[in-house]
Amino acid sequence: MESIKVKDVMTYDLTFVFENETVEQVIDLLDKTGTSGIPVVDTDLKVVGFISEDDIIRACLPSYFNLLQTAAFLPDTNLVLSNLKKISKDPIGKYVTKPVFTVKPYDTLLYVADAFMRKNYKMIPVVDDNNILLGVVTRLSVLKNAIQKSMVVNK
Amino acid sequence: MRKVLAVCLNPALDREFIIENFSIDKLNIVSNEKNKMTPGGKGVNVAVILSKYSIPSIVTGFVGGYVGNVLISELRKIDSLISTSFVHINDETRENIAIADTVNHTLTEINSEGPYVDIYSMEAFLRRYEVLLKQVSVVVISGSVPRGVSNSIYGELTKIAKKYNKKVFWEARDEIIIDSIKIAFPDVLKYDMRRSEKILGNILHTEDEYIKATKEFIKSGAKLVIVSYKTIFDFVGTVDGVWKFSPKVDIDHSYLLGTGDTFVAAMVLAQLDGKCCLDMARYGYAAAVAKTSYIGKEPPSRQQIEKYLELISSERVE
Repeated sequence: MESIKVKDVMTYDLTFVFENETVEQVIDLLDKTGTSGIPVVDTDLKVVGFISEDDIIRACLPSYFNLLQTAAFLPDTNLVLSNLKKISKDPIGKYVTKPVFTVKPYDTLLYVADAFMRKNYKMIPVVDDNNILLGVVTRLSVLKNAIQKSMVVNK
Repeated sequence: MRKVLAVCLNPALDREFIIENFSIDKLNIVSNEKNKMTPGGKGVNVAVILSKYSIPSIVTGFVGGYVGNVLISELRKIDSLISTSFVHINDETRENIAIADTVNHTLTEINSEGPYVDIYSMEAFLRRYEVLLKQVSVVVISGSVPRGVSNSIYGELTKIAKKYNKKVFWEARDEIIIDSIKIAFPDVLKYDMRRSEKILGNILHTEDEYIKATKEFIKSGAKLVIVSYKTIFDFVGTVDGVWKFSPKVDIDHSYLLGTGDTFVAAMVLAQLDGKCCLDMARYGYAAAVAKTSYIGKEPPSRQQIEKYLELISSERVE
């Protein structure tokens, strides 16, 4: 498994958003692309953050939410919906995960698999040495390629 | 570094069904192996051809809906040298269905009208285009323009590319060229004359009329112009004059499919190799003629192109 590199399993897709695009635009893009998150870049295509469904949901919850044992303790269960409406025109930069965890094309699959497990990421941006976006690597692509590799070995 | 940005504003998913004795008003069953699905659109085709020559590219434009997502997924399967960076729109990407009947020799085509692109998607595209532009040395803008997008878009995109000193190639139809050259000229202008014989709104007939039109483009600011003449010939204009390109071999007209995209891709290849102007056009033309020597979608190898450079003639006519 260690011999497979990120470049062999990554998706060479450059779908990205800018920090000043709105929460509403990002939700629309996530829906259209069927992904759980999108890299955030600057005007030189350098990755400056990552925005995921989780980040947006977290932004809609009150700050004390983590202290509650369940959502049932929320005083108003419509809070999330009303907060989402409130933040829908906000620039996504307010809610972006920073600093962003990225990998390089020559990192090993084991290194990426470890990051997926320990940090619970679903998607990781792949960048070059200048931090310029090259694509993304997903949990599923790691699993798919690992299983194909083991099938070849077994033959 | 990715070398080429291929702009394909109106990509398509090409579906080909081979059905023996195809009949209308009846159920026709087609086996999986006779049902092909390939990403299409001139810009996409150029990127695919470039990948066969190991040239990395980014393909951009608009995609939408289920068909759009299938198109991207099929494009990714072709080669990892092709990076995708599309703007996702609300309308469905167009689908071109071709039903070929190999017994009765008929071809039935059903093409969808294509999507409408709204102003917000256009703005999102322009912002992304400028970011992607900085990552490449050559921009190829090729093919049709979707509804909602102005025919002057080639000019707008070229004006931005010129801010960053990028080489710009166009292959487009007359109505796009007319509106776009009012804004900016590309480095290489190739006419797409598959559906229309018009140049600057006029139907040309004689060789002299073609030569005159080619010279006009150069006078207006183009550095290299390629105008197809009677399908297999080309008039090529540079600041130094006008040439007529002809094949020294017989051309099978049924193998012409895809030669325009091969021409453009080979010119990009020549540009990246450091060739200029007439030599670049000769390389493109040789590749296009080589492509007509066999059936199949694969572009000719570099060795084949070199061989065909000897099998074409370029005669100075002005």
